[in-house]
Amino acid sequence: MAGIISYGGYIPRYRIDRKLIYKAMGWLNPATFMPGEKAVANFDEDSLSMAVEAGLDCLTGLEHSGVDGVYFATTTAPYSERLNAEVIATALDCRSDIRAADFTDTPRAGTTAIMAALDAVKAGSSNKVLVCAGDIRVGKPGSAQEETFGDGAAAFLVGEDDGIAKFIGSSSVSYDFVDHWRSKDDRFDRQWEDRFIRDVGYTSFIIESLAGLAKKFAIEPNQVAKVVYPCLYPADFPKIAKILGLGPGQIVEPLLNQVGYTGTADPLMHLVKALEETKPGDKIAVVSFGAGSDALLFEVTDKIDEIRNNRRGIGKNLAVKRELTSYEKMVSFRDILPTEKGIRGEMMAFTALSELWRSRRQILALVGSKCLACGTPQFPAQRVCVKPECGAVDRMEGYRFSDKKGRVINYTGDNLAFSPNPPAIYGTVDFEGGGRFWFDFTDVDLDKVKVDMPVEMSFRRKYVDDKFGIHGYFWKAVPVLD
Amino acid sequence: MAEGIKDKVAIIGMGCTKFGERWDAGSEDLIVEAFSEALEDAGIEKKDIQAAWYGSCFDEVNVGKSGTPLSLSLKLPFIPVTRVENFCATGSEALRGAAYAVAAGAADICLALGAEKLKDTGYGGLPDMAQAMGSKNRLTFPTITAPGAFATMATRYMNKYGLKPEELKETLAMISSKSHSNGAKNPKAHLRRAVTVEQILKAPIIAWPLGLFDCCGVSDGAAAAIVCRADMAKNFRPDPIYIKSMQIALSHGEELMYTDWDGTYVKTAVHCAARAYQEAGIKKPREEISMMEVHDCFSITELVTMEDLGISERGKAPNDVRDGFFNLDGKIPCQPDGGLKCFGHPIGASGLRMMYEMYKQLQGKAGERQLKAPKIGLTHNMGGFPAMNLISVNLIGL
Amino acid sequence: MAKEYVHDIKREVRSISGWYELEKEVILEVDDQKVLFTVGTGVVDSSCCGVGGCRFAVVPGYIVKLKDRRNDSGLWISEVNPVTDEEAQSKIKRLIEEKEIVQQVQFL
Repeated sequence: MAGIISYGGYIPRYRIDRKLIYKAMGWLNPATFMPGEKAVANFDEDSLSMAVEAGLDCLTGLEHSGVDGVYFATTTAPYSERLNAEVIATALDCRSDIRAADFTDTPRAGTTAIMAALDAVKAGSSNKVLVCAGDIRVGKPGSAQEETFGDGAAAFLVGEDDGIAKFIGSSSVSYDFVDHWRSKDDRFDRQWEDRFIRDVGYTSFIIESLAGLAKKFAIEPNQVAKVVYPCLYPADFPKIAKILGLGPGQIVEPLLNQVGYTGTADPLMHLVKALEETKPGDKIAVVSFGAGSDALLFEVTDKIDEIRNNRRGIGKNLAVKRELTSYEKMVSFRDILPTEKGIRGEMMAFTALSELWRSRRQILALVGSKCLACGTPQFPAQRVCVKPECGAVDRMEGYRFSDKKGRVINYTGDNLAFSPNPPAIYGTVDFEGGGRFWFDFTDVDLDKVKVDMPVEMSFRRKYVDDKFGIHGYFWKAVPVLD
Repeated sequence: MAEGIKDKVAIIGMGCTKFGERWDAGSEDLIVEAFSEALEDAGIEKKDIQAAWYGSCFDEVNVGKSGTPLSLSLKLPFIPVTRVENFCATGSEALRGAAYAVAAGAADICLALGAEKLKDTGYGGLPDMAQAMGSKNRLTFPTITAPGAFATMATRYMNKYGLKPEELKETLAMISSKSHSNGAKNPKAHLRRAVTVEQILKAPIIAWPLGLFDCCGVSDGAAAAIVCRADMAKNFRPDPIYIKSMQIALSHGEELMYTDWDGTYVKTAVHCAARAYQEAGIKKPREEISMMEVHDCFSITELVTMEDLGISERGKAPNDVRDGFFNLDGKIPCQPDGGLKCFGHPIGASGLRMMYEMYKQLQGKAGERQLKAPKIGLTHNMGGFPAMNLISVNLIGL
Repeated sequence: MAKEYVHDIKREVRSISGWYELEKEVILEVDDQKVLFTVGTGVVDSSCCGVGGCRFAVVPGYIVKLKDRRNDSGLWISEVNPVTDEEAQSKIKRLIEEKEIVQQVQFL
């Protein structure tokens, strides 16, 4: 029976107290005050990089080569043409004989992608499909969206047999309901009146798709242990529950005031949260909202602990945070403030795309080589072994570093190197099991970095070449999460 | 069995421009200035020069590639001119080419000239660093700067030898202060102001733990040397200086990608110094070397270089620094001309500028900075970063 | 262990890669002790790898003897105890960052 094999989650480390946003911009639109905090992606993160992180979490301890489909759901893809899902697949070191697709244009796309993946598995067209969702939705300064929108990602591996949650079925409604929209040249979210969105769409479609689900599978509200649906309006969120006849224990507490509303990733991140809170036998309904609504029904199996005990998911990511104390940094990271980079900061050599093609496994998946003659792992991949006493030529096999932990050999905090979040911290990392290279460090304060500090690798956007429209990715070292 | 070039080549003339922000001069002006002084010092005519080696690293953005910028500026009469580049050791590399030609008997009199005009770019710092790294490295290297890359050696050095940051910073400040006080005595230096250790310690940080005075800067400048066969040298002057050794060593790759090297010294320098001492017949460097000009791009570089050159024991260079061993009035004065800290670093010229000071000192022409009866001078030139670099070590003497 | 600190502000100090100037000295009361710090501006405009600079603070330490004597150049000298405890450094750094707008706080 098709279902969820594994899950993963990712929340950016930076959290900003919403009071800071209101302090900076509340003079313009005083009605925007919201409590709590939200997650803010660092300058070197985008929806794709976060999706990779969630995907890595999801595939912990599993064979990446077992994945034969990668779907990416987002409304904020870095590329409109260059398959974002395939960049993710390459970063996760997947095989090349797989199908890949982007699902986009509405926050509902995450659940749609999961449904498509489950359909492919049920039909026997795919074995194991990885579905990642990530979003960094940007609201204009002074807008309610700026307060509400948060950044995050989640990933699910979907397949047959021995999963942690069996897929029972789904029900959808689709409406060209124009609540939020962006045409192809728009940078910022546009939206119609909140009252319209709430009264006509938000409080209707979710109920409609759930009703369809209930009817299809003859389910009563009290038979569902957990129900997940987006919290777009905190006052109306419980009203929906009431209409559905759900009690407090059946609602998955929204992450709105800890992470924010994460668009496409939102239902999936909450599904991860639900799975972290359930027990075998529980039914979980996950519902999305956007141009209608998808409702999916799962039943948790007794395999849940095997995955739950080995995933960071939402809980562990939520607990690790760094305070972002500057509103100006937040808007600079999202390129809302056009900051001065200086001539040196703007100078960028054209990416040698043919070199990127040859080295894509090295650059995107951090796969180096291991010498078969002496067993030394090395990065980047070498033709001539780097071990001085060896030097064997062309006796290498691929060796993945992305999942290896390491320790800091040396480091510095460079105030001269251009960085959108100075100082630029970088240094040399020796990997467990062998191999060494130098990397940018990110999501860490300079005074916390020490020689011998344990680090792990994080997939990040390394640079953006605005002149030629290239978003370049690579790996950076971060303090070990747990 | 190759026997090296000890005492086969003599330097009979050298020139060095004033280093600085030479808004008044382009590359051609710097080339002519350095060459004119060298020619006059050698007492020969331009037509006597049979081949030339031209060191230009980043100056390519101003003058283009090949050896033609030199041949055209000086109107050299259809002689061979080889352009050389090896990062910051470009100047030494130019001299090495000229010296090898003479030692091989391919030519009798050769010119080596390095020139770099770094102030025409419109922005601070070296031009086109992005291109200099290479396309694949650009995709994988962190966003390094030279100060940062060398700062990583400082953090590791502190960790290995149990030094508190304040302790290392004070040692580095002494190194810097010593160089600045020497540079104050040098009319050709860009910066001629003494600074105290305390003033240095109060300066802001550039790349932790390196501060403003631990880092060198960009400058315009050129320097030149004229070499000839040792057995001809005394025809030109009574006090020629003889090349005892010229060696270069390049990184293997293990420093960056293999886990042996501990990051507290420069591996290439150890190899290079060993070969240089062997070629020159030096058995006890700490006792036999009179003076040194090393690549003090950063104070930490100068510190570990003392150990790499076998002058100080591993981990003990700070003790020697504190004892004044490397001061102008110390046992082995280091940077008597003020070094990169006072001259700045026009890449192609620096190696030859170092040689210029050693040459003048050996001839007793170093003015206010003159050391008492030096016999052997060592120059050390480094290009790249601690984990990926090349080192040039050269010895000249009477 | 007490160290000497030379009072020398409002003087441009030049290096090959830039310059700095200390603007003022401030005494901060922290946990019943008096901490001396200075605030300055630095500019890095001729280094090899770019242009930079900042407004920064330097903390010589806890005051033992303030302006006790003069040195040969006529500048006042104080005796200070450097702040070495990491927690104390964190606290003082935070206080200085709140009081002054600086991008770096260094402990001598």
